Amino acid sequence: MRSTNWPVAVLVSFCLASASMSARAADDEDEDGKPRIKVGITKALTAAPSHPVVPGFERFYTEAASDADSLTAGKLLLGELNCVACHKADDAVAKSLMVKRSPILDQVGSRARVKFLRKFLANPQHGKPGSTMPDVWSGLSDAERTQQVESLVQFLATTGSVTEASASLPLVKEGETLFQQIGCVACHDPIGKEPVSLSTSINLGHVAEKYTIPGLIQFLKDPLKVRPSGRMPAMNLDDKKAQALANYFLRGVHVNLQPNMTYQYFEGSWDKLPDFSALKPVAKGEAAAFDLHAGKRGNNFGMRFEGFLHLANVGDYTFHLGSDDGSRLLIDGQKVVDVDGTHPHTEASGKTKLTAGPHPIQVDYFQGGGEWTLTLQFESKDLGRQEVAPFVTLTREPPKPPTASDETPLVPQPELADSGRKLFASAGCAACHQIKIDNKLLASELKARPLRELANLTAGCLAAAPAKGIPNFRLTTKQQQAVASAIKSLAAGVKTPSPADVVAQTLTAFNCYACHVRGLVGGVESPRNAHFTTTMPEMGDEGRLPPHLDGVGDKLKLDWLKQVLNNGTDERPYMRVNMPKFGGDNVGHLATILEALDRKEGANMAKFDDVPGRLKAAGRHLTGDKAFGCIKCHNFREHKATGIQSVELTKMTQRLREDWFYRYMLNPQEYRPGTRMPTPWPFGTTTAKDVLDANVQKQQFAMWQYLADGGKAQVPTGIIRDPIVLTPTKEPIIYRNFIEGVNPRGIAVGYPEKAHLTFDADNCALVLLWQGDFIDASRHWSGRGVGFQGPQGDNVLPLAAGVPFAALPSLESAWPDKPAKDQGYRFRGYRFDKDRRPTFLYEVGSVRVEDFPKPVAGESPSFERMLTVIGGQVTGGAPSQLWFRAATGTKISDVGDGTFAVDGLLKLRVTSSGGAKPILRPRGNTHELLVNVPLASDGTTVKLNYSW
Amino acid sequence: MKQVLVVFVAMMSIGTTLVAAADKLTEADFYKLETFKTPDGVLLEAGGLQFLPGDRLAVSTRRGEIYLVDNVLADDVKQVKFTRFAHGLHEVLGIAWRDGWLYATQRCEVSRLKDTDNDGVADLIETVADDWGITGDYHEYAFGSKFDKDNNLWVTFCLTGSFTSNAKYRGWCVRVTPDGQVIPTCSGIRSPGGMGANHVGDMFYTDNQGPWNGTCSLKHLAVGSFQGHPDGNKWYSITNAIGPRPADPKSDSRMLVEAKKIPELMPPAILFPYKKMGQSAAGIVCDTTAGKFGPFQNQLFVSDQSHSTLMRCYLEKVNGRYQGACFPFRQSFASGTLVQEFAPNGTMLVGGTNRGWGSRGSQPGALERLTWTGKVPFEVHEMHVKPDGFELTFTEPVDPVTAADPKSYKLETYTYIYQAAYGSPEVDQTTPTIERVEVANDRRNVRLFVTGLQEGHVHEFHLDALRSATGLPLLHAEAYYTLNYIPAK
Repeated sequence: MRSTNWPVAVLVSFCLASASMSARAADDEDEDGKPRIKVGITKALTAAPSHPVVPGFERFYTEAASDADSLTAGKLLLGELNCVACHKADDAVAKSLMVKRSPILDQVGSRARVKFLRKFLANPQHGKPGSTMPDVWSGLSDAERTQQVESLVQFLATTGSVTEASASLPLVKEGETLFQQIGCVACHDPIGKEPVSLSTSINLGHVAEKYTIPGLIQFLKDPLKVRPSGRMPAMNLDDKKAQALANYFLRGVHVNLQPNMTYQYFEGSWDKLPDFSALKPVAKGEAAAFDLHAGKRGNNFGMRFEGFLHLANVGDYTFHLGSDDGSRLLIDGQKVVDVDGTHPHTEASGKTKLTAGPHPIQVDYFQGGGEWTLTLQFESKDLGRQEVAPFVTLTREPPKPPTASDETPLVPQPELADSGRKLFASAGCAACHQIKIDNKLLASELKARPLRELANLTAGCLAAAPAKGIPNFRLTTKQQQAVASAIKSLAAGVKTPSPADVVAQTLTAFNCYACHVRGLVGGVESPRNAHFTTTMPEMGDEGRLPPHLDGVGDKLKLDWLKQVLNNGTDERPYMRVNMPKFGGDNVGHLATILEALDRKEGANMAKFDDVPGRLKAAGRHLTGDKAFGCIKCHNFREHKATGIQSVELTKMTQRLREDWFYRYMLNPQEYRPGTRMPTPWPFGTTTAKDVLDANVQKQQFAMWQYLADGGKAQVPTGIIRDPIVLTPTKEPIIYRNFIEGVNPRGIAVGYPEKAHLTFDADNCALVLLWQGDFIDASRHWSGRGVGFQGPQGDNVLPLAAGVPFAALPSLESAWPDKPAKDQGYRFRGYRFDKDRRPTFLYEVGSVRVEDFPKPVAGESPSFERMLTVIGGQVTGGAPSQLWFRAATGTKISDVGDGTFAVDGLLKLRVTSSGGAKPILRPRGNTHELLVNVPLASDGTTVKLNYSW
Repeated sequence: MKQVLVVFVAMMSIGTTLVAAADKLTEADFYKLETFKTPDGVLLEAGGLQFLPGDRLAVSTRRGEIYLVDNVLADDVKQVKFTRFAHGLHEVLGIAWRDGWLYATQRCEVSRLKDTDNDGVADLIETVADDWGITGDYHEYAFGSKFDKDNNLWVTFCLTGSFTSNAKYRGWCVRVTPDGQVIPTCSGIRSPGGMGANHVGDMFYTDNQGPWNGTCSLKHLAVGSFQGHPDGNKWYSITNAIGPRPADPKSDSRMLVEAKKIPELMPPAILFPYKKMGQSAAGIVCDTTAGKFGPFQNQLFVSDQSHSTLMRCYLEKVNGRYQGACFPFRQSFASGTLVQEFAPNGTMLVGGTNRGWGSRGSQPGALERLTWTGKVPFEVHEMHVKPDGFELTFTEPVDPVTAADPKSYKLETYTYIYQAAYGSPEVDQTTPTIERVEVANDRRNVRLFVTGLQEGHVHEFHLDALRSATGLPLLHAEAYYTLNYIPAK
């Protein structure tokens, strides 16, 4: 029976989507050839869970199951709930379980807020829905419970106190994106447009109540430190990402910080920082560092913060100042970072050497309109990257340990703490949680019967309502039954699990199945699927979903496999999800088991004793664009492929087994159904027939030898773009392509005279002139040809954008800016003269125009341009009202002889066959140079000489 | 085991020489492939081919050049001579000839070129039509066809980045009339790879695996049809040339499920199973050589750029729509095959490129010719779907024993998810049962009676055990029939 909570359509579509993967396990196909992947059950929840949530159990064992499944499910719970911490198990049983150790509480006071501890300890399922911690207060009155909790809180508070910091808005957004993209939602509830609460998620509702920003950063950077069992793996976050995530989680938490700086508040409208010293502040006082709320309004204001920065050590410090709008940082009166101006949140950095001790620090800030932010962080060798605020005080006195928060500070009661310590031992907390007091481990004093002696399996912890003093895990009936069944079954004898069972047990306990399929089990759950994204959408699912793990022990070298399990990895640049660090102590055992289970031999491993250098040269050739073209999709060290930028090539021999590599390369589809990876050796023959006698084995061997040079391997051809500079020598070169700064319908023309131009065939306008070299075609003629290419030469002069001709009812009329086609413009192409110079042809309504630019050689080559305007009707005006716009500029001046100087960049001489003098007219902050073009059936000409 | 051995021994004894000879027969025995050497400094990333009067071949390139090639039909490929006719055009993916003008489809416009002073080089380049949008995204290709019976050129526009339609008519097919009008004709295009008409003048294009395209395919550009990718449908707001905007398809569905709800939605005529047939379907040419190219008259030859191959397509009309089968035909082209064209003498010219997208053919560009040697390969000739199975015809008489054995026909079916996400795995696999087989008296026609035909599925056949009357295996034992509709009884 499937859940009725989750829409059936979603489940169905997931089954269909994953049917594809079934093809990979051809060995497991039944007679009908239709293996099904066990995707499990994912329900949408309407309320937070109130029982211990173990994702693997929720997903795979909540349906009626076989006896074997019950045992597996029960063992999973015995491990995840750590039952054997109190109920000692026989060695054989203990060995067959995968026990999740509880968090280490040595410094819990510096991590968790007192308010959260009270709520959580009083009722774990209230404090943290889905928690695997039991309620140990069965049978106590509310008053007794409160008393016990308070003593524990007092005790735990002796281990430290939290550090506060305010959330920073730009980081919140960044953190939200990270949470959605890097894989958090594999185990936690998806957020975003369609947030959903799922039965297999670890609930995070408590995070904002439990942590402060600094505490959460510390946890996220190394979760294994306090939760050594790796169910929450380390996402290998750098400081910045950990900060962003912490800020996202605690975005709504308002923190009352102690003032540690003086501020002055100004009002005014600026587009860059004013000199606040010369202005009278509207208000001043003391505030928490960089708290813009000290101001009175959200726009048109400025702030100056002053205080002292306390440093423990001399050293080089890099400061990162970010703001919207402008800001500036001064230390010891010297400017260190400047992000002045009006802009969205922008960060800049500056480095300075500072001595130990206090330093005057000043931050000036102004805000125009819209968003307003101010962030300041610094980093050094010994501090890493941190917020500056906690290191700043009002005076030269060093800062006291901050204790402030929005809750009433805990008044230490040593006697109560002491009874808490005793309770910690007697109530069994110490059985699961490590806590060291004065470096001494606190031992549990709880007595419980060994596992094999548990006969009544509906009593004790497994009772529906446990008796006084018995922990209450709030198990569901299914969970209770699974645990009971496993205890019973284990008492009857322990079967040594097979290696495949150990793998499955591990992948379930660590929820590896949330991302990976192995042995037709697992894979990304349907409601989470859309959150697995890629930077290369054209790679399809292969680019966004983590790889299946069938045969992974065959594919990866043992050392690499160990490294991935120990530390995680980020080898797929296109995939936003990374493999996190689960820790070698937790999952390291998989490496040798996977090796033993999966490893195959069978490739032709022939060795060749040719000169190694020659083999490698052949391997390099094969890798490059003249043969297999691997580099079209794969990166090569720091060089990015022009295509999808797939896994880096020189890492291949570090990661992959040679035997697997040879087999895989002959038929990638067999190992990764649906992969875009083609084989260079289809049907066992090579596509590079002229290399190494077309010997497939030898070519494979050569590529392997070449790639094994890793960092020393010569870069293959085709990944670094060789310039293709087009140089007109005898006649002009036309280059019709995407030209930087021009409409996509640009036509560049290079002339032997070394004056060049680009004509915009959409607006029928001459838009760019330059001198010297013409253009580099390599951007468009190598790889896929991405982007716009600018001139290769010098003295690049953009000319007026927009259409060249318009009918103006009066000289007050604005130059029209509608799309050229809507103004009746039609580009008609071009023809060449005997010297192969183009004349551009176009129509404006029924008026025909021929535009012939002719280069003039010289030390500074120039253009002589002849426009011929022929016949027709002027659309939207009388024939006398047709104007040609010769130039626009901030400043245009008549320098005599029909010549005009435009912005000091261009000298333009204009002569018209109609004899009309050009007219200079101001338009706002600019000038336009217009020439009237009376229409004549035999044509009117306008001659322009461009010298720039 | 014993039985297998007996059969094996029997085969060995009766046909040692035949079997040995058959093993050695390759595509090259039937279709000879030759590569032209291009002059030094010329990179021929061929994007368009057109024969001109006098057996001259015009070749347009992705670098924007057009070459005129003489002697492409000479006995010796070395006699070939290249002359540059034009340069500086924007990635020409389609050329056609009419009334002394060479028409070229560039990214930005359809132009026509003429050499007015007869010096061998074009000196007039006229813009015929440019009424579509272009943003500068490299994926915004424009493919042009040959002239239809009304002298229109058909042009297909790739989507922006092959995902979205960010400029006018991206994701559409338009017709460019002789007077330069641009008539919107079909919507729903994603990333075309080539265009071509069949022998009755119906226009087709190839589209490629991606969003709303589970795998690469051959699609019929019926006027007014919606080809399946809905992002370009926003442009129905500026034209009523083909009526109102069709309903949007639902993602995560199946093509035929949606086609039943959306009358304009045209299911692909032929799906090319990903990796099995190719990865980048490209140019299309119809064999109208009246037998000069072998026995496949009126069939379509479609290239695959990635696999550097030619595929053969047989189409029939069921329920008024095209569907049919594809077969491997010829591999080992020197570069990624993009475009092909028949010479008047029945020789096929094939152009290729492997820039930006890798290909098995490792040359950066190539011009080649493929000539029928006069020997008829043993191949499935045509495939017709019947209400209760299939009819297969063969190029040579079949061996009645293997041909009459249902076990000689391995058949399975599958389809693809019709979805907004990229591509699709093969899904919904089934294995129909071949109940019985009837071999016609002329032994060129085999009738399969099948239970479990699946509408909307590719029917993948493997005929490895089948033999010709002379004991030969099929040159290509695979056939993929895209069964959109089962004909009524």
